[in-house]
Amino acid sequence: MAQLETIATMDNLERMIDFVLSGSKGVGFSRKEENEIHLACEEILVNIINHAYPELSEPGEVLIRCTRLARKPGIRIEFIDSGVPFNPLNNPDPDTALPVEERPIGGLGLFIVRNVMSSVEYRRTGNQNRLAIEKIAQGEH
Amino acid sequence: MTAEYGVELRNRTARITIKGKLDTTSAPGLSEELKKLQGQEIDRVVFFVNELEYISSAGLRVIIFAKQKVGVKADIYFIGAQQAVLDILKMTGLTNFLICQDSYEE
Repeated sequence: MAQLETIATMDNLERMIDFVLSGSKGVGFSRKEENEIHLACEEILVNIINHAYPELSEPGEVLIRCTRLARKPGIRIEFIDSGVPFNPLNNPDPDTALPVEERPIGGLGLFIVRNVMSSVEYRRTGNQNRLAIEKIAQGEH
Repeated sequence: MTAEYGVELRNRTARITIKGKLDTTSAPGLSEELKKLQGQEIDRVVFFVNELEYISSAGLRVIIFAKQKVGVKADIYFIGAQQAVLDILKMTGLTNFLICQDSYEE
């Protein structure tokens, strides 16, 4: 298991994404799958950076843990913050069939996360949000 | 900067070239550039994206913005998109209003 604890700021976003992507190397992911992991991480981390700590004058922390799955080639990535409770699984899916004039400009990020990952789990433990995402590697086709 | 982009308006066609990664870091800058086109007479908005490697929801919002605020009556073209980018456009339903082509002729 590898973990990174850092301050949840835009300045640290690239470093956090790189940490997850390096943890995804050697697992057997195709480029497409690596791209999907990248997307999911960006969407989740930007959400934490922008919304987890609205009441603090200083940005809060986020802990990221990457673990290889034991049962299949794949990875589990856990994002832990101590911000306001937020369950991304409660966010309704956007209506992707709406005409573009009526499409709301937000709500796509978490929809992408749910679509590209094999599983998404949320738990609120004490004062922590724990969001765990897993992806099974299918590899190249 | 994770993306490079250029915006040009000629003959009522806005031509936008994007290279690299259109993500949370780079999308706001492109959005600012597109805002400058608001109020112009535009028939077509053409994104040249064969060197665009990655697009996140922040980038998708810029595309939706382009249709809603810049080219309300315009056709929006997406030229030369890589598979990774096309996959995300399809997943989020943006291909419903984008004209995706391999190449573009005036």
